[in-house]
Amino acid sequence: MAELTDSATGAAPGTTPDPGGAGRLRAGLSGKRGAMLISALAVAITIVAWQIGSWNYNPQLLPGPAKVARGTGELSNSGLLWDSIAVSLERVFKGWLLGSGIAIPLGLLAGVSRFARAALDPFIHFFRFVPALALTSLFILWFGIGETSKVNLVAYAALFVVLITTATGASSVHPDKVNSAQTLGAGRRDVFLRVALPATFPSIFVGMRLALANAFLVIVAAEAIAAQEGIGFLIWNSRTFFRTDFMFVGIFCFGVLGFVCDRLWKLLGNTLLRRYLTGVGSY
Amino acid sequence: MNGATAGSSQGARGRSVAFSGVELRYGGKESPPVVVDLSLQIAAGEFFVIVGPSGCGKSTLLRLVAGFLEPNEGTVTAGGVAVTGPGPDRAMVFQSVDGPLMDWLTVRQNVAFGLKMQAKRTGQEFDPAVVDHWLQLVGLTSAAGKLPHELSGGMKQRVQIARILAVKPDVVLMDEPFAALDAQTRRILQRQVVELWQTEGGTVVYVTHDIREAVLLGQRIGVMRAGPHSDFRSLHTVDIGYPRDEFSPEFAGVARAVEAEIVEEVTRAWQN
Repeated sequence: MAELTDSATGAAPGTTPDPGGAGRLRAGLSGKRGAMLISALAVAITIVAWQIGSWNYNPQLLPGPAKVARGTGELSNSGLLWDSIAVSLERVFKGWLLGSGIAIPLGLLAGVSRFARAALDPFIHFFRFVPALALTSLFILWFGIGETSKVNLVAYAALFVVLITTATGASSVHPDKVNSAQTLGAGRRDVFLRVALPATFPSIFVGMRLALANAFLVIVAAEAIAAQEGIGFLIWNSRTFFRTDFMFVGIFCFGVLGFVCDRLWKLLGNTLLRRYLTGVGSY
Repeated sequence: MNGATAGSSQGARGRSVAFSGVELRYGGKESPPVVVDLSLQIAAGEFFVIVGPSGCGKSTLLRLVAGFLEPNEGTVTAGGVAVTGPGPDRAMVFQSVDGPLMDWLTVRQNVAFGLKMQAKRTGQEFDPAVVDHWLQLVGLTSAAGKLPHELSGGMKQRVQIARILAVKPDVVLMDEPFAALDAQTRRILQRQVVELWQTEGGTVVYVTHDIREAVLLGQRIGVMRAGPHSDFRSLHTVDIGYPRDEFSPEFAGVARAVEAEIVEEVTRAWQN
């Protein structure tokens, strides 16, 4: 078995031969199911280690998975968990869509017009280094303590990623695509709408995917100040009551929601938008 | 130099192409010219092939006719009218296999693209039967619903040819369209291009670095000099009927003469 593995992998002479069992295990884990199995195993080991670790600490500092699960049940039964999720998700989506809605046309403009790029560039590269967190208080002053300031803050955080990826995509459309459309009789308008725009979809798609993570990042800050609901508020408020387990529930909510949203966005790319994304990798 | 126009049997459609005193620089006035005082006449309905060493400016000439480039001096005309920009009367088949097709459109939609633009421009109704006709002519009927990334290189080039010829351009510009394909596919497509030209008419300006391909296709072959200044060194009239037998002595004679000139140009370029 060891020799067989060596010749199959073409290992150089002198390298340590593979033990037979490990070779077989590796072969069994190479498929898609194998990858899922490894992921599940890694998560299970981490949870067990966390539980064992938590026995050594004060539960108010590090609650174990069992305590966090009980906390989840408590929050779920009272309805607070679901309300918080709904409120936070609404803010994330509104802000993400608003930011993308502003960024996409601007990015396309910056990508196809040298004039527009020159005009926009200083602002893009100035503001993208100003963290959304730095603007939290300012946004509350400007837009009040209601929903608007929170949605706008998320939009701000999502905007620049989408803008830059869109502009990069629009400015790197294959010149033969534009030229061939022109020799087929397409005017400026058709070249833009039927060639440059669809050719930029992969960049917009990737940009919005990255921006989604930014939106989740900022919602905590947006809900830290002047909020009465949401997962971010839940985490901040738990501090007051020393409910570390509730904080963990909030943290898990973000992780799970972000993961699910990302998968859904990818699913959209693999179905409805599939024909536009043939050039995008599968990651 | 002025080339004599070859007699053409394809006069029904197509427009003449003429370069007169063309000079081109990439960049500003200070940058060195790549084309200097180039003149050439291509007759309406002619199949003209441009050959020459790498980097001699073959594609540049096509881009001037297509209207992607504008000469700094002199004029490029198609059918006696000065070329001022790209237009569907001078359509181009590109060398790049992946660049020019619209990746998000099916084969059928890609072939329909130019026809739809044409319908929009002329106010006439778009006729899907024309698309079917061209799909059948290039043997892509069964692949009509596929996206470009599902096709082989040869199939993609057939899509390019079909969508260009479907709009019936007066001048077809082909920039090494089969350079990236395997030898067998190339042979089949070369034969198909000649057949389409014979049935559809039109002027063809075809760029290649393959001498065999040049002699197989062209009524006339223009041999370009190696840089720095692009110019025609000589024009060969190929007086052999289609389809051409590449093992015939006449074929070999023309190929040998063209090859000798290109070898000379390449050697000269290396010595400079």
